[in-house]
Amino acid sequence: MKSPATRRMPRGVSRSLVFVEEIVPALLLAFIVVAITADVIGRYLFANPLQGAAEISLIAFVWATYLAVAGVSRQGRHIAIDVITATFSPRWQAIADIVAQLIIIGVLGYLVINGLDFFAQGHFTNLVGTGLSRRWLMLAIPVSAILMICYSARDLIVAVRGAISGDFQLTSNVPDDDIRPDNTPKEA
Amino acid sequence: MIWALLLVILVLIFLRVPVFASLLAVSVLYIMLEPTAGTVIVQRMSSGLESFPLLAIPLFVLAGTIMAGGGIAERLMAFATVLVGHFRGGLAQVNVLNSLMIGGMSGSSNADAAIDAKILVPIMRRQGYSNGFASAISAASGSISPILPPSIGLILYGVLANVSIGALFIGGVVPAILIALALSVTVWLISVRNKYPRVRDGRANFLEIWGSFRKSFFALLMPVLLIVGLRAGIFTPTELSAIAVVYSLVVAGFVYKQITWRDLPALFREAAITSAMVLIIIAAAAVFGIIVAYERIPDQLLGLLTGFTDNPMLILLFINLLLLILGMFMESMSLMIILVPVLAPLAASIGVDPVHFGLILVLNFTIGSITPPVGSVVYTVAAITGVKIPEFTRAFLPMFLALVVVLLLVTYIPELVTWLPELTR
Repeated sequence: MKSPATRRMPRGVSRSLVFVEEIVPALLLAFIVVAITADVIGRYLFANPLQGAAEISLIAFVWATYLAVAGVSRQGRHIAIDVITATFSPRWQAIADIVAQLIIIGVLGYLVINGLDFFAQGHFTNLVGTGLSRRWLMLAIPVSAILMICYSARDLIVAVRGAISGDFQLTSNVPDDDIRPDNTPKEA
Repeated sequence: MIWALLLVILVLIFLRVPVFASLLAVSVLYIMLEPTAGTVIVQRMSSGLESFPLLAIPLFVLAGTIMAGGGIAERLMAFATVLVGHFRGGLAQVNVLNSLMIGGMSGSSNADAAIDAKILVPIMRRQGYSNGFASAISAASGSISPILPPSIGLILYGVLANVSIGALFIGGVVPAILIALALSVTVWLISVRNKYPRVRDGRANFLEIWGSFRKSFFALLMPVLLIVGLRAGIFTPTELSAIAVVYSLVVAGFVYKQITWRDLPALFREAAITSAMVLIIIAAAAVFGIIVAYERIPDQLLGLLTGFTDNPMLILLFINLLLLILGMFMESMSLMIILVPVLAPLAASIGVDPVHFGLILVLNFTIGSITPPVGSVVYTVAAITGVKIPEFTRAFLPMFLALVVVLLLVTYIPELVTWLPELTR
């Protein structure tokens, strides 16, 4: 069973989202492994560590995390406790999810507005090794928040429909086959 | 004020609002009256992740993912069978010993319990073990992983409380062995009573043990390399995590030949997503830290506790009870992020060694996470084995008691934790 919102997503869009939220973070992770390993090898074998490796890895880490967080939202895998809501009827689960999604959208909206405002007007210090402004690190937050708002909006629509029809299933329980390439492991 | 905010967090969390959003929502509410609050929150979300030691989390997750998919589990199980298969309830003993060995790679109770539940439980059931017992021992033995290197919980505690991650890793070794021993004795007693079978008729001879050891040597070497690398000061934890990824790729790809280049994209993507689930909570908790600081929560809590008693032993008992109960209801990483900034100063103020306290904290959360009715590991195991929760609970009770005994030992005999780090200093 696919969620209605997911089912309607154009294939090109969904593949682009998978690329941004999963493949880019995976590539950044691979880059971090290479950079840190090269730094260690350089230090011990050639007495010449890779300059700025730690800092570049940190930038990659922050971006990888915030992009992958959007992927977590798309897959409905954020850590949440459903001890109580799991005992509700489907309709009341949907109503609880509406409340949850509205809170998430509110919080993320706050991050987008303040994040973009701060990005445009704030004063940032530079990273010591690379000289790069912290502005570019911070940009990852509103970018991620915008993507997550889209998924929360999707889940909100599903929850509203579920509250009306009384037939509701959480996004985390719905396989999103149309956006997940075949070789990707399913979530636990 | 603070209690009202904590209440709101709990209500949101139990309404299934994700933990990161619950923390952020309350933080936004708290500081919204301040005109520059928006930028403070965004800054904290960014600076909360600007920590080089935190980079170890996705890399150790990646190393664990590669090892898990690299045919390591089967080799370690074969080795465990050779070592303890001749005992009464041999497969259950294998379950425990395997967790001790595989814990040195996964660092996660869920991953470890899932491996045991998938591979061992079906075999145990065919040999006459009840589903409740087989599932319960798979979950209980999962409690060993989070206190062995490369435990994600210990890394997180080390970062949050500014404690040596190397000392934490080594400090977990004796408690992990104690848990394995306690569970092993419990399993033996239950197996004798229920007449559970042995896997093999007699002890393995030296050649059998040596042959099996050689097959699993590279897998067993990883935790040793982690500890030696850290304690010898050769690598930082983050560097070690990158080396662990390279090592696991070499072992799984070239030595055991269980993964190919085609498998790598999926493994890297899964590791990125799994890490992000935890890291976003860390970023949100950095924002929540503003409230913890403004409201002087550690001082308030200390005042509350010392109002009842000034006996450190009783305060530790109270903290244990609190953590154990919370651990049953909430995910351990989230709890750690919320509670470490509060409890670490409190523990220091009553003279508890920070490494010792880190182990107490992680052990509590771990036992909580495998305890019915709501521990997350219980549901991981139940989803795989199909065990009913009441049946699981009945079988789990003696194991729970064994784990609590170890917890009390670790709490009140600090040397069990601090001896090894001091020895290797």
